[in-house]
Amino acid sequence: MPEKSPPLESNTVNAAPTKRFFISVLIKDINFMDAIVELVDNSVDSARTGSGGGNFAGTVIDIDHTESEFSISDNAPGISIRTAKNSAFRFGRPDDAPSNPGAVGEFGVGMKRALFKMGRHFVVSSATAEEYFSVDVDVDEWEAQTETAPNGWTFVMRTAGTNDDPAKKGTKIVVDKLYDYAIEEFKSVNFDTRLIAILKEAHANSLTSGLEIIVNKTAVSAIPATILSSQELLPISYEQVLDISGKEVRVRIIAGVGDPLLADAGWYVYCNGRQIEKAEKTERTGWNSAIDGGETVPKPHWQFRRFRGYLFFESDYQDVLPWNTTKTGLDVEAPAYRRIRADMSSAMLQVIDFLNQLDSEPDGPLAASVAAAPRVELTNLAPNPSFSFKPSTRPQRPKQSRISYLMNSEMVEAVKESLGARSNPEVGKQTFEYYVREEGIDCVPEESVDGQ
Amino acid sequence: MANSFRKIDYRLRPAKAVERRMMAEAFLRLRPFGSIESYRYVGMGSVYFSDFSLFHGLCGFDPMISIEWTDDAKIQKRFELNVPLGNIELLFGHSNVTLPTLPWDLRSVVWLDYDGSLGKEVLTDVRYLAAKMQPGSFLAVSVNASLNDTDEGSKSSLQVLTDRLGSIGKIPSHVASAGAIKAREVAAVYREILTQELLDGINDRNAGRPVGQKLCFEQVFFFRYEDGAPMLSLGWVIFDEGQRASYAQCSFHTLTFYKSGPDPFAISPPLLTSTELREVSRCDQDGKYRKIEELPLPPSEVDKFQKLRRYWPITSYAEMT
Repeated sequence: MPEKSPPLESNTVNAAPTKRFFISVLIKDINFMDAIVELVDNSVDSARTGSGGGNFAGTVIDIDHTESEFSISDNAPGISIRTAKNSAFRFGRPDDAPSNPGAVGEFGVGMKRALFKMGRHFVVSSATAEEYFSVDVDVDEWEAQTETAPNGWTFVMRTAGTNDDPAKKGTKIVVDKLYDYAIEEFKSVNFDTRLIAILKEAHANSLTSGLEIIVNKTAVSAIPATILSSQELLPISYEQVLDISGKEVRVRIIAGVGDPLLADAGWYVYCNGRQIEKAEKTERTGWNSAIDGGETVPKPHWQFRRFRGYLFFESDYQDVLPWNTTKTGLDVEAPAYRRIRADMSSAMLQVIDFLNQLDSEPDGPLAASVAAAPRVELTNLAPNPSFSFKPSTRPQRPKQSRISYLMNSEMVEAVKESLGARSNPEVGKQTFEYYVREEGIDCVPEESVDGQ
Repeated sequence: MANSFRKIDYRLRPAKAVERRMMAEAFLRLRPFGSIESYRYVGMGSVYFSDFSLFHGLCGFDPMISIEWTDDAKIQKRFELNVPLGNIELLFGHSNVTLPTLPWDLRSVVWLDYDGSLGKEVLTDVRYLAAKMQPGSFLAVSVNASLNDTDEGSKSSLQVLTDRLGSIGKIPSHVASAGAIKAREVAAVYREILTQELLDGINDRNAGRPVGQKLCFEQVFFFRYEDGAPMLSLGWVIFDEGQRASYAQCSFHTLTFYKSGPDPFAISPPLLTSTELREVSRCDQDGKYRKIEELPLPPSEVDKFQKLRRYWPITSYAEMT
């Protein structure tokens, strides 16, 4: 690559980046699916800015692909020529870039890295209500250009002008000259299924707030997250405001009990509506410490399969949110996260204490409380600073015991025929009831037991 | 493969018998890749070992390995008792565990003849073999082609399949977006899933290999049949792009049952007596002996037989009462 180095002063070393660093190295930190989600993040940010908050009604993001081309378009407010020229295509976010309150994009690497990850040619076209432009980048040509310093790196704006039809606003990105792995993915019969499953989770909040995402003509629909909540089983749900170096971060903590699915148990973390952790069950969220005092090897978590914890971080200052640059995980050293860890731990211990009690009495009144509690959407939970539960006051089903034994098959068949029973459990039940009746045992409950 | 021999006498399944003979003919076409006799055969022989006897007789495969998923010593002895040939090695254990214990530096014909439905353990085997089989090898997979299971309760067809495969990510996009699988689509959907799994494995294997030396595969057959349970079988040849000419010399496309796409070849045994089958066989195109139309037989049944005639089993089992 014919890239000349600037002359060095005698007491300096060259620390300038190379194009190859951005084109071929940085992309190793993001996988292909996450690159596409990055592009969706950009559209969501644009829509959020346009709506002045989290109302996405009417916003449509359309993802399309063939085996040789990928495109994503939206009807969000678009990128201005000024933003395009000064910051949108910079590698890294300039200090004087216009702020985008509540946005997901923060680091100034997402879109470029995503495009470099996919292929060797891309066109970004955008229109605001007033103007439009398009930037066309052939990566091979750009990489081969000679220049003296990174501050001389530019892309060419192919078209630009006044938008005569303000209704036609939005951004469209087309990528081709795809890498082999991108072609293989787009050829896969289950690619859309996987992408939809990821988008459903990554942007669940925005999707339930009116955002429409369409993947190759299939609409992505998200089901709002729920947790069990009733008067007898109240999950933790409260918000607090943190001041991180003068920047405000709002955090909502929710912890409680959900369906008994181990795969779904754990912490879910969102930053400005974007999910960055799902069912996290490692020390990153304090799971091991809470359960077994910080053992490095996770213990079986079967009795904690009902635990659900949610953290929603919101801030106009994306730099203080606890996410990594690919938005696929927590930055556990981020001050906003460290400040909330004690509250998470407390919330988790309260719920785990309850789950241990529940585990010791699987048919007790606590289980009845859990069974009776409805699923409530997280957005509809009443504020409640600590987990509270009480045994169900509803009438309990009679306690049941299972009887299981083996008998000679021929004898079982003969008894079955004699009783007119249709199944072996029915034989067991009827013979038991026969004994109780004939022996006059005075213990018959109002409701007959279910024989198995 | 687990204990299915207790439910099914494989010798009495006419469609399966036809399928085996068709497969044997397909395997014989592998000769441009190497001597057929030198191929290793890996199968799931049950106690009847019907495929082993037939393939050894027609193709001369040697060595042969049969995988059986049982850890019951008594049942294992029964398998050992029934081994019909000295060159058959028995391996006991689940195929997910036993296949990786075999050396894969030999050209092989592998028939994963599951009696169960499509599940993640099937995909695990396919993915493993995609990564390991030598160019010029043949992979066949048979699975039950239904989604019905009384254990699944009220789950939707899509949920049943998702649970079996362990992830929604294995479901073809058009199926996931439709939200359901119609019974008549099950075989085609299974084919898509199996083919994609094989492709994923081959793609991983090809990563970083130069153009012209990448591996590829071609589908040679796609059978549908029903000997009590609806079944499907798929067969692919795996080879190096540089062996494309050898693949062409195999002339798989001239096989009457050749199917390279999503439409299956239905093996539908005719409902005709032995005498009727003999009479149909004796009729030739010139009608010198007798014209088929003169036979007092339903044309649809005759058609079925004509499609399978060369592969119809010439042995029969008489039931003594």
